[in-house]
Amino acid sequence: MRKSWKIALAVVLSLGLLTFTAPPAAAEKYPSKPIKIIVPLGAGGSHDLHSRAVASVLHQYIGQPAYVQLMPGGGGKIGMGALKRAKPDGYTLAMGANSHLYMSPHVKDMGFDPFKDFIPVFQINELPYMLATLGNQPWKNFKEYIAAAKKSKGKIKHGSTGTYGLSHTMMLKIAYDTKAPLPHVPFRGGGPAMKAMLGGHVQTAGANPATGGVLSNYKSGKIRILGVAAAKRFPLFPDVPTFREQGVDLLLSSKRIVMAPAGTPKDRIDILEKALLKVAKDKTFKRLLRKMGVKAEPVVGEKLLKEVRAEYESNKDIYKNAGVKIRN
Amino acid sequence: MMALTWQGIAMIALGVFVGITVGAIPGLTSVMATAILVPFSFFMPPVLGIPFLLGIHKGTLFGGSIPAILVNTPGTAPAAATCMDGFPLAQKGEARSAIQMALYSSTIGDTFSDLVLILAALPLAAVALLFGPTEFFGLLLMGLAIISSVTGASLVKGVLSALIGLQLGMVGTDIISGGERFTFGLHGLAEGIGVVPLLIGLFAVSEVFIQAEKKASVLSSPPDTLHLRGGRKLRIIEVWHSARTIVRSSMIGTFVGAIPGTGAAIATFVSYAAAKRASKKPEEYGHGSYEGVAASEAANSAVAGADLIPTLTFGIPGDPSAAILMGAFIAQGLRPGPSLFQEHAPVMYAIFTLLLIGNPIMLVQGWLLTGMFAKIVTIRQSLLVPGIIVSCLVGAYVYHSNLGDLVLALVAGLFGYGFRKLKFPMAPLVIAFILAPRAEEALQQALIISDGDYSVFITRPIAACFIGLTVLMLVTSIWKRPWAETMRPQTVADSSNSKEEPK
Repeated sequence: MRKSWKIALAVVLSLGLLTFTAPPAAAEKYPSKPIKIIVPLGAGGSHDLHSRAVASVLHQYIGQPAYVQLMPGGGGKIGMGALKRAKPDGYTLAMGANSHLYMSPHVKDMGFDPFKDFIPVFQINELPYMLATLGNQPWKNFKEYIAAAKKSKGKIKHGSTGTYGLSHTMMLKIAYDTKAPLPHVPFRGGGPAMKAMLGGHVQTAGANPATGGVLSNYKSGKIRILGVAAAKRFPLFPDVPTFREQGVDLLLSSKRIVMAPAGTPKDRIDILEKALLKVAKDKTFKRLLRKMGVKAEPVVGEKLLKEVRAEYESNKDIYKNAGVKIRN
Repeated sequence: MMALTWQGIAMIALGVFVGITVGAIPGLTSVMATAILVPFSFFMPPVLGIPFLLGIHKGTLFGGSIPAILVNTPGTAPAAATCMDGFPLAQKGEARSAIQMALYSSTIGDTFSDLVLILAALPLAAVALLFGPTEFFGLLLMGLAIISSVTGASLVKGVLSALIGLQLGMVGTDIISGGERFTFGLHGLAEGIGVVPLLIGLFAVSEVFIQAEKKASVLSSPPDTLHLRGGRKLRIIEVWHSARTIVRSSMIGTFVGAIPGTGAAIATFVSYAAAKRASKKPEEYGHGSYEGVAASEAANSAVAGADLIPTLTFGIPGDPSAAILMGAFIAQGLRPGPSLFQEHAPVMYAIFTLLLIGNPIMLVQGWLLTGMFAKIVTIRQSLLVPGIIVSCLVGAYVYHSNLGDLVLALVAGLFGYGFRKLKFPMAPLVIAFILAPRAEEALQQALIISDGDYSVFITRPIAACFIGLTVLMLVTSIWKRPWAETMRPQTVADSSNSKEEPK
């Protein structure tokens, strides 16, 4: 009895050894095994859904299946940390968000450098950020809101998605440009903040056009949108002026960017980029996105790098102006 | 009647089955299962894909009670309360009847909450919105006061256990300042200590250490004849005796579940404490009370329907698994909001009908599976224990695919072993760990909103109500001194149960 156990063990161990010592195939054709997409944010969120939409069609264009691995936590720190440590061979990617890539590193130790450690490969889309308030609040527009905020001396509060998150950053910029006191109450993400706003516990909250419930609450008049942080008005909300129209030079959006670890060979990045561009045109993919209320607006290559750099710098300015201590 | 296609019923039945199985495997959670299976629902029509996911959501909440009862392993936080009474029952050889009690109470709780979702979603959602940080703090404070009823024999040990839980709960990012606390520079701790690996460590891994103390001959001896059929069946009259508890817990679970950001764990602890207070036999709680199992299981399953209320009416998910379900609804073009029920009435009511049909399906499946699951206790310890530890460690790892969580589960296991050896009660630690960080967060938010004015906790009626109840609870527990009179030296976390068992 004892002996057969030992033999079995020996067989299992040597089999294990075999797989480790198998010689690497010469001049491996990429991709020759499944591709992993890390989602550094929570399950069910827009990054998760987008990743799954990508994973469900990518195999048609790259010849290998793609799968999603959720690694939430630490505001993107854990998942992006795993991407940084992954082998730069094009088999590990992540669906990054601009908040943890280009905002948080200014103010806290994320354990990575967004430019030295990662390559942005493909931005699926970006959704502009908006400022929402209850429909029955006395202020009818942004101007009146700012006037009321100045008069109240800090009584009108913003429910934010977290300190130095998207909506807090938006408020820092608005406060700096308008000189109005706009204190924020941090919540654990957009959902709880929106709920506190709907319940009247805080007066404003951030949202993007695809945030659950925003469109229907807006149509029914339950909420009012004071401004949208984009260069032009958002088609679903044609009556909502941009912040630029209202005197605040603010562009802020939530982005979904496929990231690769730094050091990934250029030819593999090119293969990925090409396949992902085809994904963006795929019928099924477009249908999945349409149901979520968004569409694919791909940005790749140099243009993408330029855009995220610009965002990184502009966020830095926002924090600097707000008197926040910047890390680098 | 587009709802009653056989495909729809088959999908929810399949979902319930997957759910029970996932729930029964320690460490696999409904969040994980639904997250993995959401993409499949993309390619199904909504009346098939959504019921499948809802079935999983339902099934896991009951399934979680199975390992809690059989091997003292709560795969999820709400099942921790089920361990307190379920495991002692299994040790007495009543595993099957304990699981049946869990099944009946889960089904009743779930049905109740589904009915509330269907009939009263909009008004209840409006009430849920009244809960701001101030009210939340009141509710959570009341939850924390529950610790007073689970301290066990020694008040000092109970309080120490709660304080340790409090301290562990402090680890991680403070959302108000954005700063990290007690992470010692470890990035893996930025999000705090994961509840799943911690529970797996405290309960399951420590149990394995306790078992490892036994002699090899004891471990490999065939199990007691008492266990051979997995124990006796539950009599209907016993369910009837717990009827009041089940109804009360269903109501608590539904109400707490409807408030976003609470989740099943809080509902379970609140209803467990309420049941114990109202019980004629409170001394049985923690030593194998069927009422205790009923209280926690009815409450956590009652969250299943109720957490969809804020999810669907406002697009604000009540807990992480509701967040994934919301994702699935959105991916199907069913955008949450007050108008969802009108705009998509046929689809929504088809889904709701299937949600209700899911309950008898769960009852039948659970009934058929219980006997099979209960046989797990008939496996020799020497075979069972290694199986448990492997499954638990896998569970701890897949929780966030983080190797650090594995280390955490092992460290928590060693810690839990010491805890049990020194006869510290585990429940205060778990409750404090789960509730205290949220209470702190709510307190800070409430005070930022009130500009530092503490009077809001008295002037706002809902918050004042909860704080009043908290004071009442604390005063009566001092009055009754339960730790001195009704508690025997044994507690939930007490290892002496397993040692005293005749072999």
